[in-house]
Amino acid sequence: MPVRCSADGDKNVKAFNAKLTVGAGRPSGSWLMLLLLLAVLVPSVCLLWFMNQAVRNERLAVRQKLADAYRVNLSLVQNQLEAYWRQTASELDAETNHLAASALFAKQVRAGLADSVICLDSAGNAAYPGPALAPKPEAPGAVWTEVEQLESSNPEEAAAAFAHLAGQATNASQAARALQAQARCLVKAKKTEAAIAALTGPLEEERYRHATDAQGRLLVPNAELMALELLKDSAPEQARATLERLKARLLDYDNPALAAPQRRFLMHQVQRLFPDETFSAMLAAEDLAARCLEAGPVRAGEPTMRPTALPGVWQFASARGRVVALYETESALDRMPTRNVWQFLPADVSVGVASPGHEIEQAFLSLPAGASLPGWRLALVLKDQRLFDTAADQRIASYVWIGFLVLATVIVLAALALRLVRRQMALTQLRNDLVANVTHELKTPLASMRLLVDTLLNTQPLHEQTAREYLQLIAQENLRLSRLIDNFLTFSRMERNKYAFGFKEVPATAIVEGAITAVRERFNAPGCRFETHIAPELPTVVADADALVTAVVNLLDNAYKYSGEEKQIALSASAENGSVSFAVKDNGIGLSPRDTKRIFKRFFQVDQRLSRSGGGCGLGLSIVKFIVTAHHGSVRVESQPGRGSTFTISLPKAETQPDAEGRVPSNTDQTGGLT
Amino acid sequence: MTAKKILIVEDNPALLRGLKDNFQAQGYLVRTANDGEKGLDALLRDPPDLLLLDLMLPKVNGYEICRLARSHRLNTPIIMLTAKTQEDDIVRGLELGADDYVTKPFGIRELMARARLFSRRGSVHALPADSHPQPEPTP
Repeated sequence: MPVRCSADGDKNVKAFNAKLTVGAGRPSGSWLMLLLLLAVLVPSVCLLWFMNQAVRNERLAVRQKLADAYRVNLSLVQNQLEAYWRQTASELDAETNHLAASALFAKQVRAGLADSVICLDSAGNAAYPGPALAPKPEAPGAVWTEVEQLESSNPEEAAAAFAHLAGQATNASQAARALQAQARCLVKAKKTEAAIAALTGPLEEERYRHATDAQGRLLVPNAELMALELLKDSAPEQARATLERLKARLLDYDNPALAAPQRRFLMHQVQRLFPDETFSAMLAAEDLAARCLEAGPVRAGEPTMRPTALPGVWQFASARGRVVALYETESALDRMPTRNVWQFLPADVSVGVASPGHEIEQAFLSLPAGASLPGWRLALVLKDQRLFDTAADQRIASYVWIGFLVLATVIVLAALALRLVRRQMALTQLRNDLVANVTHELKTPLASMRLLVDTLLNTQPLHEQTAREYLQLIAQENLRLSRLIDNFLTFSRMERNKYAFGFKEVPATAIVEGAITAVRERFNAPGCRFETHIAPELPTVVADADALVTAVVNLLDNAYKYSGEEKQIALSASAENGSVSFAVKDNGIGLSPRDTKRIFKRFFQVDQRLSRSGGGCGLGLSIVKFIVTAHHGSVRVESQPGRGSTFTISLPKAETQPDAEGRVPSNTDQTGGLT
Repeated sequence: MTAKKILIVEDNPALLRGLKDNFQAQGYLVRTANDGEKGLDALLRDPPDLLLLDLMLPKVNGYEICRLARSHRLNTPIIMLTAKTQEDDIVRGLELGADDYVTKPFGIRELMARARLFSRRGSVHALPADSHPQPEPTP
């Protein structure tokens, strides 16, 4: 029977061993390390690459997001711009029907709708400022020609003759021309005062107001200019009065008789004579319109901003095409209503407009300025470029942080996994050793028994004393084998969490006595002093008596195993503070502080070599711990290397102690432990 | 024929007792040691004609004793007694200089037969004569 057991066990052990060798071999260990390393490296490298890409793209992404956000604002500005120009187009058209072209010109320029305007007639030709009025062909009379010839030889006489002609003239224009010619002759005859009198006197009369010269120009303003030249130095006060009259005439756009070229000429002359005098925006507007018309024909077309033949000047036709507004580029840009759009925009941006062919520097976002401004661009500029950088940097920082956290997590997890795997590998190694130990521990007593039995059977004659000794040895070996198998089975159940305890209320004394009985024979050997100290009146404990005896015997076995030639082992049982303690003291090899923390772990043996002498698999203390823990107790060790150890099991005493007759406590006979 | 000297190194007292009695009954001069240290000491002090060596011994294990014996140029035949049955263990023992390997549990008759074999043959190691005390000339 033992032989069969051994053979089966051997087979199982071999199989188990083979399995473990496959599981815990060195190559698989390094593969595991490599795998873990990969598990850390691959995600780390991927993450770093991803972060690098993300950081690179982040600026673009932030730019895109900001652009999307601002595009809405910018399109609102665009709408406003469009609305402004549509309104301008319709305002330019106001009163085109019932105002003369010159009056319309003055009204629009004064209203500040444009730098200048050109009013068109219904045929689309420039009405004001337009070309000079057509001269009225009127042949001067024979007398007039004679007098003119006299002018160069005898101006004084010519003057008198002209005066006479003026008196006889049948219409105002002829009279006015004669008066002007008279004044001219007087100037030539050095009779300045008389000339001034002629110019400022009769010519100021109302009837000469519309008198024109032979070229169709109004005559009176020219006469006044001549008077101003004569008066300027000699009679400043009189000159001032004349100047005011002339200015009023020049700025009176309701009088369509004054053609634009003459008006412009006179204005320039007045400014030449009196540089301090101004015609506000009117002269500049006249000039701009005249230059445009000189550069090329002006056509109304669509109400959009279009270039004129004059570089740097833009035209914008009214809705009905009767007025063309002119703008110089700078002025056009100034008029764009981009300065009043703050309600549409965040405080940190500004909006500008660029004329065709120009770009706004550092434009963050640009859109077409609208249908009214073909080719013009509306651009949004960040007031502070760092705002954009700050936004990007914040996102990048968050990426870096996330990456860092993920990396840290991966590394921590890998470290944990590595630790776990190492621990598992160490445990596997210990299990592997256990198999070898168990094999050895099972086979050694078997071998002794077989040898002794064989010897008994083969020896003739059998000496009785020897036979008795042999039988005692066999019994010891047998006991040892049983204990070993018990421990191994307990361990096996413990491993599978299948151990079932049968808790009963038992006297602590019974446990101590059970343990003493189990070891008495062995401990009575020479070289071993075994003492027991059992306190009187020990309380009862709720326990699985067999399991607890096993625990105490394991401690005693260890004490025996790890003590030298002269063994001194003491078992004591005592009660204090509601608990019962079983202490096993020996004079053995003792334990280092480091070892005292580990001895209760499975398979742990302080000294592999020493364990061989007493036998054992490193299971004893782990079984003790398991049993005691299941009893809600604790096991501790006090030890110093070379000075022996004291192992103490403490159990809570039963809540209901037997008074006299031993009432049955409520928790007797329960089945506990791990299932 | 003079009595052969045998040294048995074994830590299990029951096994040791059984082996001792059996070899004594066969006329061997038996010395015993119950740990590696004592065994090595006895081996080096007075080399026997045959060494029965357990592998798992306290203090100094069987492999170590085997190695040390061979490094001291002892050509004593060594039979290893062990519960280790793996090929690796057997090969290791033989490479360290063991002459035979008997796994536990064993039959005493088989062990005696093997022991007789080595006693008859004497040393299987042809070592120089001056390297160690020669127990007996080869028959």
